[in-house]
Amino acid sequence: MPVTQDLTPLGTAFVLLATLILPLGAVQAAQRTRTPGAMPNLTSMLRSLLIQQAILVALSLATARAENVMLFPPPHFGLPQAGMAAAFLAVSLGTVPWRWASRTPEQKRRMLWRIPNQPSDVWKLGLIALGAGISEEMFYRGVMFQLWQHVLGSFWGSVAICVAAFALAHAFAGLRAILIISVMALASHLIVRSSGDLYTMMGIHAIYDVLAGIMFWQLARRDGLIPARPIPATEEGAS
Amino acid sequence: MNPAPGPSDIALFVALTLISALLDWRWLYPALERASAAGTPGVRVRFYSLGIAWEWVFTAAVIALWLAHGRPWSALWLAPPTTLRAVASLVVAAGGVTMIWMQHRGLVAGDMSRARRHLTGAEAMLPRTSSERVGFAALSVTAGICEEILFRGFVPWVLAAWVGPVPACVLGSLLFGFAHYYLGQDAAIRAAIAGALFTCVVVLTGSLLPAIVIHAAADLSAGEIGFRMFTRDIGQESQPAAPAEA
Repeated sequence: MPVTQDLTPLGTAFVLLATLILPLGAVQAAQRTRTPGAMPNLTSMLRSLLIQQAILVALSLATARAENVMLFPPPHFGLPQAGMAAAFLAVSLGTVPWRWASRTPEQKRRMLWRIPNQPSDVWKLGLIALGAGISEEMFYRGVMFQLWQHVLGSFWGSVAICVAAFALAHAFAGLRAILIISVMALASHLIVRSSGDLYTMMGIHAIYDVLAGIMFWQLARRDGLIPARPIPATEEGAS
Repeated sequence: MNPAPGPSDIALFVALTLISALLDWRWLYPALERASAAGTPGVRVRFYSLGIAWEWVFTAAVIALWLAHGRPWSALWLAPPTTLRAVASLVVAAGGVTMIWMQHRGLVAGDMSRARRHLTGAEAMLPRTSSERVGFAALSVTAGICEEILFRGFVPWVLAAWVGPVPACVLGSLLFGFAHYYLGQDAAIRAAIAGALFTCVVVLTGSLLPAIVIHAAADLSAGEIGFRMFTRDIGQESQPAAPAEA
């Protein structure tokens, strides 16, 4: 029988936020974005995404301090970590063309706001990817996982809860993407366990988000969903 | 260390989280929807009265169990707070009510389409007349007090004995969502989120009081928006059609 432990009020609130409030909120938001209407774009979402990531980091740091969670142990990066990173990126990025091809036109259209639409969007994607790599790894694989492991005393039980929460928090991407993200989240937990810290996974997460975003952008351009050259501002204003 | 729940606690827990929720979902609310569609007079006031009585009976049963077993009120988050926590509770309650008030004003000022989306599934129980408005307000205050005692106090206390305090908070919030399943899947998800937020408030302040105030304010706001939504619809219907512009 695993030992069940209590948490501080802040730790309990963090668990409720990470396990229920954010994932269920994302499910609700995803249902709203499926209704027809104007789609956002990377530029309009940049500030709110960066603010969300900053809040995740602040909450993670405050809770880690209150619960004595070690988020940043001394780093060690060697051949095993590099091998895990290469394997993860090869599999996850290697399946991008297949994942794109198997999407319906509507699913592809709903994805356009999350990828670059022009070359100047790439730095915005890089910024968001770096923020996601740091904040989401700290939040889900760092604090949330360690708190659940403290509560349940079970590695796999904690992984299952964190994987489900992380996947549901990406509900905007659709049901099939939730399943793919679940597999990637499971692999991420195993990498964090093997590497003994979050740094490797933070790097992998950021690199994956940037490269996958660029690949999806190129595929969208190839299919004519995004114009090959952006429309100049003057033309846009004149039309 | 909290004492373990006894058979009466477990029976009350099952009646509250399972039987009551199923009755609402399968029988009571569909009956209200049918009667409301048929225009049966006084049906909503009767529904509110039944809801108020139902919730107070459950709450009275919990309080009776606590008195009978001499349990600490702190287990229900009802112990008198320390000065610091009392101040924190007041600040949180004031902040919560202010946010609800701002959202309320935003929804009422608009064309009500957002309000309609928020209240989808709950149309049958929203007030349309002045007497129903008063009845809904009484139901809102009852829900604020009783549902907080039941779902943030009693339900997690029972669950904590089996799964520990933190999973009890998570499961308690999900059961609160299930208790609102009769309003539809979206409303159940919204209720689970609200339940988790109220649990955060309770855990962080150490008191049920701010959650009671915020919960009652949220329900009062929903009733008021519903009332305005229906009275505005009736007003628009009763106005003569505007002549078509050339």
